[in-house]
Amino acid sequence: MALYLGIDVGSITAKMVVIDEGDGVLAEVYLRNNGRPLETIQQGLEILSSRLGEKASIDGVATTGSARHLAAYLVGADLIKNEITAHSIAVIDLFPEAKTIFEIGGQDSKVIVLRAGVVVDFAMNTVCAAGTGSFLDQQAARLGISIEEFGRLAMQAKHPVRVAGRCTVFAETDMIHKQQIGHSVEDIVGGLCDSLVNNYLNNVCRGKELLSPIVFQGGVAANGGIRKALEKELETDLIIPKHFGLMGAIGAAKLVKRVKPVRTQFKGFELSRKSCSTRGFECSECENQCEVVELLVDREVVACWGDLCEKYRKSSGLITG
Amino acid sequence: MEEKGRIGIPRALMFYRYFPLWKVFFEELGWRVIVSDGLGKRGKLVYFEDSCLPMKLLITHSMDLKEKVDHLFIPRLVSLHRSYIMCPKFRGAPDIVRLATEGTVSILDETIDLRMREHSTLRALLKTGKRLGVTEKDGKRAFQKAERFFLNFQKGWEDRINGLPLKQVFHLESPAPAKNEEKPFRVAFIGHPYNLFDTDVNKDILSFARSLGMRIITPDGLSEKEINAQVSEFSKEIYWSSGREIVGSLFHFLSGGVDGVVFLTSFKCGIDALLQEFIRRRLKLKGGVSIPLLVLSLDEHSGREGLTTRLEAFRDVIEQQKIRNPKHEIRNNPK
Repeated sequence: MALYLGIDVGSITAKMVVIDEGDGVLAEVYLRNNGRPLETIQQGLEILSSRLGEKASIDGVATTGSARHLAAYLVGADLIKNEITAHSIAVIDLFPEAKTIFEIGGQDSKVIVLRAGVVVDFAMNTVCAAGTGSFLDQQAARLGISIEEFGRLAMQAKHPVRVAGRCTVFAETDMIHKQQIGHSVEDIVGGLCDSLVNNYLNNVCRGKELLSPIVFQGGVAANGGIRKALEKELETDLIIPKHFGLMGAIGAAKLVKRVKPVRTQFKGFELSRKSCSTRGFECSECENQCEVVELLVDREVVACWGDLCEKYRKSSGLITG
Repeated sequence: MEEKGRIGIPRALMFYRYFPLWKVFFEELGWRVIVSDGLGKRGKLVYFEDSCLPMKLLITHSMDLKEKVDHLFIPRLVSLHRSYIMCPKFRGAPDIVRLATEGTVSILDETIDLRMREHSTLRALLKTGKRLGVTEKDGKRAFQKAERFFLNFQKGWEDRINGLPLKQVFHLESPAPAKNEEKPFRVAFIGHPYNLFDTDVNKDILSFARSLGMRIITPDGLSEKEINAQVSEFSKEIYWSSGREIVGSLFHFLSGGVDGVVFLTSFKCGIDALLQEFIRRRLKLKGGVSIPLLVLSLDEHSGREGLTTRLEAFRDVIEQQKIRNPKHEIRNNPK
């Protein structure tokens, strides 16, 4: 049976899934990057291979997410796809009726508008990451609670307080002020969820026609407080897919399944046991001052990028001509 | 002819439209024209007061030039249209540079105000010439030559932006490539010229667009009539000429002829902020359009990733639309 691997490396987490011909998810991994995407991908490969068994062979690999190019160079990908398309592909197959996708991840939040199973419009947050997962994480850590606990507490809020949601710096100042004048933790985190949702709907979704059914996915979909606040604001129920955190990876795997590569570029699960690292330098030969990055596997340069003139790629024999 | 001296033209603002005209004019009069260098990847911006990115760039480029030239050419652009005005910052641009350079360089800052008289550009350049000791007759002759060159340059515009490396579009010695390869998509890029063509600001997004299979169409080729047709029915007049051109060309392209429209905006630009709201409301009134629209905001981030991700996704959207809506195909290839 043919197997396809989808890898979604975002700013905070890496997600990997293996699907079969029938789109069944055979194995999945959801890991925090801890700022080290290469190691995380290697670790993910190891976990996947132990779940699938040694004999499993992969017929195609696709990468997505903000580190999609890095991931592709490392594992050998057959397809590199932006996360907007990857997310929508995963939804369109599962919920053909869906008209809107909310996706809130670590540092990105986006809205995708679907009509008759086709993406017609989309938007991503610009400039600032207020309202995304990393800020919620940070606030949970400040309160000394887990992110799951955070969502639970928010749902128990009786009188959510008003918190400035436009900017995380102001939001934090506001929250501390409310805490110091005696509001309960529930009401404060509930208020934070409300204001972040407000910010998301008024900035990212500004001018978009938000029709039901709406699918809500990305890591933040796990946060019951945010979900509840969205549902309250929009006066509609949201669909949360079973694999809400893995949708980008699933979409990538489905896309490469459609392509059906004749011979995959995948370097194999044994990559997890090799030593992988990158090194970067600034080339000073011309005014472009390219920031060049080299990827080393077992101390050998296997990929190189960032050099506009392709000089380093040529000299290490990665491209010819 | 003996070189009379050096005129510096900062690579900023309306350089990205009128440079060919200005350059030929000064060269015809025997002056050497020096253009500021690109910012390079490091992008060291000179900060001066709290201004928008295009103004910061004007100052940065002027600083780069001030020691290399005898005069800086920064015309006071009040209006480039019969009845509409420029953003007030253009009016103050020469003064802002004068302050930033602390008066260490001579600035040629004649006013161009097409509301006052039809030939204001000629007048301003003649006055500039006079300051440089040129007779009116020589000035007129140089202007005629410059204008001819400029019109010719504009004719080759679409081939230049689709065929040359974007950094070379304003290298006047590079000829317009004769024929560009066929591209699967026609995409209109709208915005202030200094956002569209300054590769330091837009991280060379147009080259990336080309690599995604897009043929780039810009508003430069549109006539006054085509713009008017789109903006005349508005309830409120847009009184900035650039804003009017942007909104007019955006709706012109959204009504057909292209597969998608991309609006490049400048973060912190007051005009762009208002235009976006204007466009949003207008689209709502129209009940949406079938041609996809993407608004890309340019800021001082050094990364290119945010722009390329959105543009890649936009390419996927227009591709899907084309598959679903093959009538676009017929319109683009009338057979």
